[in-house]
Amino acid sequence: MTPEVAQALQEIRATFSENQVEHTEDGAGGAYIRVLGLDLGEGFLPRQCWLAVHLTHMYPAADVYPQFTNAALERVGRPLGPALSAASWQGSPATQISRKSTGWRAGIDTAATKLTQVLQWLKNS
Amino acid sequence: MAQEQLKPWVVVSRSSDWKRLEKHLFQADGHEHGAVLCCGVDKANRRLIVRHVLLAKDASDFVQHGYSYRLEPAFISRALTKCKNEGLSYIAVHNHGGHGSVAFSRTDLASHERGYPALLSILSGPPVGALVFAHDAVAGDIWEPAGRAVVESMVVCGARRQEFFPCQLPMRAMLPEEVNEAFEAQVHLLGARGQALLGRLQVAVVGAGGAGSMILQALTHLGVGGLVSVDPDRLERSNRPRVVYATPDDEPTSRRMGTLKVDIAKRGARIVCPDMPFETYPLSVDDPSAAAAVTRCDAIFLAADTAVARHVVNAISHQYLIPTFQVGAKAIPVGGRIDSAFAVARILGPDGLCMWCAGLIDSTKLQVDALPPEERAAAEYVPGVRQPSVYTMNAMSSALALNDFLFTFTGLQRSQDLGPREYDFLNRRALRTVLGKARRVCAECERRRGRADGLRLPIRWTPSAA
Repeated sequence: MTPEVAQALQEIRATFSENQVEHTEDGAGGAYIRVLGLDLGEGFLPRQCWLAVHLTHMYPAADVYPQFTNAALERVGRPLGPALSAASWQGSPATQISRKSTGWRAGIDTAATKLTQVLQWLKNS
Repeated sequence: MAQEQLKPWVVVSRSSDWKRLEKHLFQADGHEHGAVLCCGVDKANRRLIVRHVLLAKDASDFVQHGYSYRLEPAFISRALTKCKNEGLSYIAVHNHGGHGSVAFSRTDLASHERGYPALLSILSGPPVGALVFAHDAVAGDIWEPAGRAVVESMVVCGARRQEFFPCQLPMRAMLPEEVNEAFEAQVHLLGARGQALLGRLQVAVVGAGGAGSMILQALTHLGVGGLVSVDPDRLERSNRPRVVYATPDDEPTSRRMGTLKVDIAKRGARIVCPDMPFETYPLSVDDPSAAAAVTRCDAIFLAADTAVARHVVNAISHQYLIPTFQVGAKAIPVGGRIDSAFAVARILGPDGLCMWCAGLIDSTKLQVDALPPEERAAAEYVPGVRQPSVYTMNAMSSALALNDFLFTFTGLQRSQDLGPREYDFLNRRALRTVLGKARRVCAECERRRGRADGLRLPIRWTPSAA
């Protein structure tokens, strides 16, 4: 892992200190990172989800994009919002979340803040 | 104490920094003046890259003692702190009178012997040393833990490249007679000095497709000293007509893949200049070996249109102060008709553009380009639309960039303007490019400028890097 990706992993662990965070190195300096056991609230089935991202060796200049979550995620009473599509994460079925950051500011915007924002967006979408 | 004589260094500066320093050193009073250069260290290529110029105030920072002048301890301490904080080399500077040749005085050398061992141990790593300037000349005495080295030359990069030596070199003597004859018509424009300079330059071309292959061909014809070609791609049938020197035999068949584009370029260069060194890197420029090869060049052409190539080359250009010439040609179809068609040439790096400041790199596209191919297709947020690409449009952007290279490097360019240039084909107009909205905070060019090896390049991570 590059020092920048290693630092991002540390920040994610600190931000989601109540959750399990797992990672696999990608062999080029990046890492596949997954945060488990996130609570989406009563509006979702299942209520708990995971969020994952692939930080590449271009981080932190590069945006943290796309993001992934459970394959079988449903919203109670209405369909999921836009920017969600069927995909795979590390060979298993997943839902891709396509939330890009226009005007990403390297060093100010971080992987941890992006995951927090995406989780918030998912809850409110 | 006897010290080992090490390989010489070359000092590299932006034109804007050199102008500040030159104005400070060569004042109307005709006296000596002083400064410190805080330099990034390019260890592999023995280059000291100027990051900060600290001018010493006369009578307080730079004081006369008897017949000589010296930098005061408080000023030296401030400069050392700056160097130590950023891992930079400390280079003290002063001037002598005279023109065309210069050397340290015995007093100068004695002061180096007294002071530099202590400065070396304070910085614990980067070299320390001194430069002495006369008009059109520079000499250097650089101290390293392993020994001592002279400065071969100082290169000033900007609208007009300049190079200073300890004494004026007989440039005509550096140009072999047969080369002189082969490039006779060119020598009428560039002079023997300009042609000799071209013959010493190592040039990297990132991208060997439509524009890149043309640039490689043209640089071979100009008589540059050596080429580094970087491109991971193989020829496809759909791009064969645009790639210079490609033949139908290079196209992929059911039994074999297409020829590597870098190999096609090398084959073409061999026809024109059989002996010219030509290194091929069939890799993305974010591969460590390709990036290292680009980093040791005197100039870079960027003819690859990925965000990864833009980011990496932009970083190398600013970090190692390597003048970089970026080309692009685009036709934008809107609703079944061509809305605009243009060619553009941009100068990046020392006193030139930063692609981040100019809004020419999109962070999300950078991420998508950096993903492995199997993930990239799924992640693309703009559906993959094939952009039009036309030989003659590539030729225009390549010609603009090549002539920018030629006229800035040989010192023929009069204008100080390094702004981008654009040609609008539909309206048959040459334009100045309107830059994208500049970022309020550019995290890239300021922190990278002149840092050389002191900052990691955004390239693939290898176990050895760890």
